[in-house]
Amino acid sequence: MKSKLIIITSGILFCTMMVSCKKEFLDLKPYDQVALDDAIKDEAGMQAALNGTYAQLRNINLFGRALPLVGDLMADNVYIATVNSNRFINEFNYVFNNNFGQSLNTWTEAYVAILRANNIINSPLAANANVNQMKGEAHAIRALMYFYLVNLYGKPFTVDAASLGVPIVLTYDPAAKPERKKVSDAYQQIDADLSAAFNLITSTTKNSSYVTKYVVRALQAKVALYKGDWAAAKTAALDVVNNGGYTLVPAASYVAYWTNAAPITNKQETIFEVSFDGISNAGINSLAYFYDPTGYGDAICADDLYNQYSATDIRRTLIVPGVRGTQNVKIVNKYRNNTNNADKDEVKVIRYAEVLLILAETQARTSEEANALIRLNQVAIIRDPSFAGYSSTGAALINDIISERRKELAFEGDRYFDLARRNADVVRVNLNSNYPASTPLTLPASSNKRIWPIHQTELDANRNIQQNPGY
Amino acid sequence: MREKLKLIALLLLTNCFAAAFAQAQTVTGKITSQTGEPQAFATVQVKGTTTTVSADAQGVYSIKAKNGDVLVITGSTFRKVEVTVDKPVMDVSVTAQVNSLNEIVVTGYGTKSKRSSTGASNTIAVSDVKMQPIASFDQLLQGQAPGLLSLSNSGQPGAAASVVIRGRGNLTNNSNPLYIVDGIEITAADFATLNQNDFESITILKDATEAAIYGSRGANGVIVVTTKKGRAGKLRLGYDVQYGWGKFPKSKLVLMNSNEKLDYEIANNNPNNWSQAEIDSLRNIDINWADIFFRTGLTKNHQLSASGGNDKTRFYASLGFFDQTGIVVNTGIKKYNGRINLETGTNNFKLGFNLGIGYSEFSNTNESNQSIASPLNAIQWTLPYFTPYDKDGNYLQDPTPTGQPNALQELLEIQRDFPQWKGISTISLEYKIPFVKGLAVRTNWGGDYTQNEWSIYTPRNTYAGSLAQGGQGSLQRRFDRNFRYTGTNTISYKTTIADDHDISVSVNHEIVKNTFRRFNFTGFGLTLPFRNEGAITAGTGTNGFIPTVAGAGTANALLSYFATANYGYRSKYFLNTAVRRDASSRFGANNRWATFYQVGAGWIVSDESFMKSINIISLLKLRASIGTVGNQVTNTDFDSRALLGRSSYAGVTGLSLIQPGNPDLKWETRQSFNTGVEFGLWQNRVSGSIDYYNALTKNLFLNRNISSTSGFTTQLFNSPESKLRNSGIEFVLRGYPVRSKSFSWLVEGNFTYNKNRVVSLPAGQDSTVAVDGTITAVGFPANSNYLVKYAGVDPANGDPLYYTKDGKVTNVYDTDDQVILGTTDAPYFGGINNTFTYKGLELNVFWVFVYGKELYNNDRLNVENPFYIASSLNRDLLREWRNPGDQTNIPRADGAVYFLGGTTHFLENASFWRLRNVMLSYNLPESIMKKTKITGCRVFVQGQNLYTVTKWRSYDPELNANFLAGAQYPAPKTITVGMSLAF
Repeated sequence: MKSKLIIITSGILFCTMMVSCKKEFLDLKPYDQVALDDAIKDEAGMQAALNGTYAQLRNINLFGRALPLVGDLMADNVYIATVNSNRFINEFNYVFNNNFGQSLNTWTEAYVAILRANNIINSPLAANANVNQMKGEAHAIRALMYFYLVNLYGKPFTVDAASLGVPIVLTYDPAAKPERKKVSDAYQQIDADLSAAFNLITSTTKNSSYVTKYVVRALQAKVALYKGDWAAAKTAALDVVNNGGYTLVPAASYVAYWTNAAPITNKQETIFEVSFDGISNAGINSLAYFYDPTGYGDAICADDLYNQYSATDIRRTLIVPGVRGTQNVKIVNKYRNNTNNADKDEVKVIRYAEVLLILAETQARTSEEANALIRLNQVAIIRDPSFAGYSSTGAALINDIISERRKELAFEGDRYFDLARRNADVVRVNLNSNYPASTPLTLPASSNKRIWPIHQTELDANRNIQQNPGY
Repeated sequence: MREKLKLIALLLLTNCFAAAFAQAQTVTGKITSQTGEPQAFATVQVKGTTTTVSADAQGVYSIKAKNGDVLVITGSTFRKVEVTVDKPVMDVSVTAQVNSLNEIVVTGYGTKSKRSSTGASNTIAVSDVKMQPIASFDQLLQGQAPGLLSLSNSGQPGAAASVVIRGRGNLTNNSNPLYIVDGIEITAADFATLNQNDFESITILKDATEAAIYGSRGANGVIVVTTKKGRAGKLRLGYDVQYGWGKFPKSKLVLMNSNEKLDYEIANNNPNNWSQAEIDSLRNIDINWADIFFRTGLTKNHQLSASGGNDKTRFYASLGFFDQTGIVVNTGIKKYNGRINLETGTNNFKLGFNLGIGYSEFSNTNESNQSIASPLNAIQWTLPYFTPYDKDGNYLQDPTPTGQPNALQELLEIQRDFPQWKGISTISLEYKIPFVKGLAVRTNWGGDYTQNEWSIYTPRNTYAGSLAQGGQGSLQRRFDRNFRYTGTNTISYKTTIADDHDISVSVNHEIVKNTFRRFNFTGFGLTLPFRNEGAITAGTGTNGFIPTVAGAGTANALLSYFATANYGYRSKYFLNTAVRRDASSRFGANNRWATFYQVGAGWIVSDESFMKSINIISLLKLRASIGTVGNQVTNTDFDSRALLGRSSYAGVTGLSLIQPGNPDLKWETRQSFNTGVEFGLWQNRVSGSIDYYNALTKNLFLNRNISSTSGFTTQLFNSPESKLRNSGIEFVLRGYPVRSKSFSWLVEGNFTYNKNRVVSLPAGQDSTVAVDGTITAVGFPANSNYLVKYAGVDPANGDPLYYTKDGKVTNVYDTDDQVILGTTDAPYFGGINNTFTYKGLELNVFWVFVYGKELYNNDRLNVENPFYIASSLNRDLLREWRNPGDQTNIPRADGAVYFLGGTTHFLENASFWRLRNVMLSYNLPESIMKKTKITGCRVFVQGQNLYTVTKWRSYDPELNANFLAGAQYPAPKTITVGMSLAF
């Protein structure tokens, strides 16, 4: 009797064991990762996701190196030394085909940033000031990425707004095979994102490594400039100048400004930059390492650019004559924290000087030449205190503004796109055999090589994508 | 407690009654060998009738018979015996003999006789392998069973082998079989810390029928190990001791000596700018760096075991110590093992408890890479005209402009230690319910705990130390722990109806859960004279020594229900079936569950009456099986989910989406068919088996390229279009060319041909070139070589020539001319064992072979590229083209045309024949033993890897990777002497 009882009990026990641990036994949670569905459930989660989105801007195929580098390297500011580490040679020589690696990498990483921003923008978290601020920052980052994408892979808006732009992806769907929309569609998305950002963001005081209201305004000015919408560009730039509270760095602290590796909190010069620190940095793949002669040191300032600066121009102190191999070279010393263990150089996205130059150009182009000269000279004279100032008019004034842009924004990735938006040829002035015989000295505005190909990997994975002409 | 006692007493009582009642018309007994080993699953037949029964796992049988009947007792492990019944208890002693039929197939969920098995499995005799001086048991499986290919990539003491059963079954390079020890899953890589001397049986389960009871995990085959059990009777003690010496094999790659190298440098523009005086002085030095780095490795092995007990309780206990120093300086393994196995209970109620603990200290050096900091590369790369030390006794630093680090310094100064703790414990309870004969419940629970530590000390005076953050050395420490528990509950029922119908059924429930945790740190700035954490400089914002600190963890779980049903008719016809449902935590909620099934049938043709007249055939068995098994192992435990991982921006943490996830991810399924024939001729003097199998893996895990506009470039998915087939044939043959009273010669051989083919892949992804240069393409084996064919040298100008895709000769190298060539996975392999016995003397000669495999030898490229002139070079380069008309296959060293690296010039035949093991042993005769208390004494001398036939041009052709990157640690040639004593 007793043993029967035991059997029955153990039988029941056995059966319970078999059915008990079913669902929860298999529902395991990742240890140090969080599932997408659980990630953005509160403000803290959204803040973490936003930081993760900013962190992507540090990628070496974005602001970590590629974007600020190719803007000079593919133009007439920077060349690759004879002694080099065999990097960025294709960009330098315009050897682009559908297997051109950088075209895949920058494309992919920009969309990674867009994906992360999308997840924040699409979060159903109830609106409040904090949530709005964070969503606004995500909108701005998404706009920034589409701006670079459409400029790298699509024709300039001012040249052919109806031509192929880039796919506009606003939700996460790994199965999607989106097609390329028109260049104008990308700009429409950028405008929409920036105005959403402007409306949502309330902060005007966060430090320079975050997007604030006037970061958005400055970006709006630049985007409008690229669209040739002078009025809109002027309005936005004026708002930054009149209400943003930014100042230019005085000549005496110019070198110190570039030596500083920390974000700016006093609104001097920097409007937005991507933060790199002692731990989170691109190491030997950084922009600084590519310029630093104790690093790769491959990228060298073209003598032609060097000669644009007067001897008293403070900006020239950041270009140091030196020797590389057997070449006498002009070493770029703008990124000074390559060997600094404690902190690394931030990479500038937009500075106050550029906003002033945008304002000057839009004023010059809308018959406000006197105002334009004030803004232009505001930049030119603070950089070169011995300079008496520009007094040109008409086309010469525009040229002076463009030339000042080149000098002011050198090694920050602006030049190539500045030529492109104006449909100007790239013309490299070959002084002192900077450029080897095999390197093209011109890239006409009409050339198909002005915009990058879509990589074959993307074409294979997404049959709806159309290749750019000529590839 | 009192209640428990009462219960046990009651159980015992019930049992006695039952036994007394049963004895009335039945003859029972135990079948044992002369040394007292129980002969499990022996067949007992009443001569002249069809009454046949099987003994159980302990050799106990029970059969209905009258006095005067003759019982015929047959089994695989002993010679046939006939005894006449004269009392109700007939214990039978038999003489051991090697034979294949009726071996025990240990499936982990239980045992069954090979007679009734309908699937493909092989049993490996532990006694054959346990005394080989190798720390990791998986290496010992080489050549032991058909269909199983075990290759070790490394000769480092303690290195694990790669074991593949019946071919690579998937495209995620996860081909590890499932290892089961005493019913629970064991991590594949950790066998170096287990003690193979404790193993009692090793069974390889290969087809669906055998593996399907592991359905969820059995796709790559299953290796089931049971550990030794205690035996009733007086206390038995065993002591095994072994000492050995290992030496490095000769490399087939011969490098230039100092004179040749200097001459070559002079002929090629003297890149190091040696002056004549320097050249003259360097010519006087000629160092063979292999002599500096390699040494004689020593092996010491001590094993102590004890076993004993009574009818109720039996135990087995052992202690082991294994110490092996590697043939490369500063490498080796020390391992310590302890085990206790207990069994207690009555016939109806049994409790088993097994506990094995191991600790090993493993020191290694970097291998299989092309790093300049790997000492094993330096053996080949360091210039022969440099010495390891300068005249003051300091490490000599290479003075040339492209100077390499002093590899001896790297080897001696860098300390790489990997202590491992391992604990495996199982407990099982079995209760035969006394009221229903044949009904039993069983529960088996066990845990596998592994704890790995890393300590890599890289001092600042080394090259590797100068590369560390801050440039002042690094100390990397890591701590991992992994715990997996497995629980199985079984209800089984076994009965025989009308004497002819043997039926057994079971329902089972199983859970497996694995948890892993890790933390690690790397400290920098090793400026104090400690070889541990004491040397680390505290990191500040400016000194560059901020340590890196990290951790990780993961978990997975499996839940299964399964049922088996086996039917046997007159011990002649057998039908086995099983069905199971498995759920894995790795998949999304909708795809967790999958169903697997198996059906197998067997027919012992030789037992049919029409076969009785054919005397030469003593056994003929036909069998066939079909079924499915699953694979759920992908890259990580959470591949099905979109995940955000830690990141940081401006000093503040963030979370970034780092994995696309795929909620549709589900089980990969391997469907396999197997048919085989087992035979024995001339009273099993010759026996063997032939198996044909055909396995198709469907729903392969594959990384599909997705539009990177999604934010990801690839996504893991089950491709419904992709299929991978492994089909093959396996032979086993065993026979006695000579078998007389005092001398016998036994030959045992196995041979496997496996054909691996990618049947289909998704459209647009019909070939994938891996990072290592191999290609997986439809119609070819997975991981095939993919290179441009090299066509030799144009005698006119010394240009290398290549074949284009359509077979034309060109001097232009173009990756578009790459063609698919040869497989990196050996399609043919096997082993042949010869055993010669003369009285107490036994000679064992064991050969293994691997054939039909081609690998890219990057190790040779490393010393054959003329642009690596700054380091040591292959002597072949002396045949370099110099003048028009030179007939050679080494082109002139001109970087503009030299692209041999991507060609078949470096593709080599990696097939080999190897004398894996030779052992001469002598059992001291009983006449001598009688005078002592010793019951058995065996002395032996053993040699390993003594002879290898290969065309492979490096140290060792035994490689499991798709190519040899460099820095090979070859398997040593070893000689050991030893002795086994039993008391």
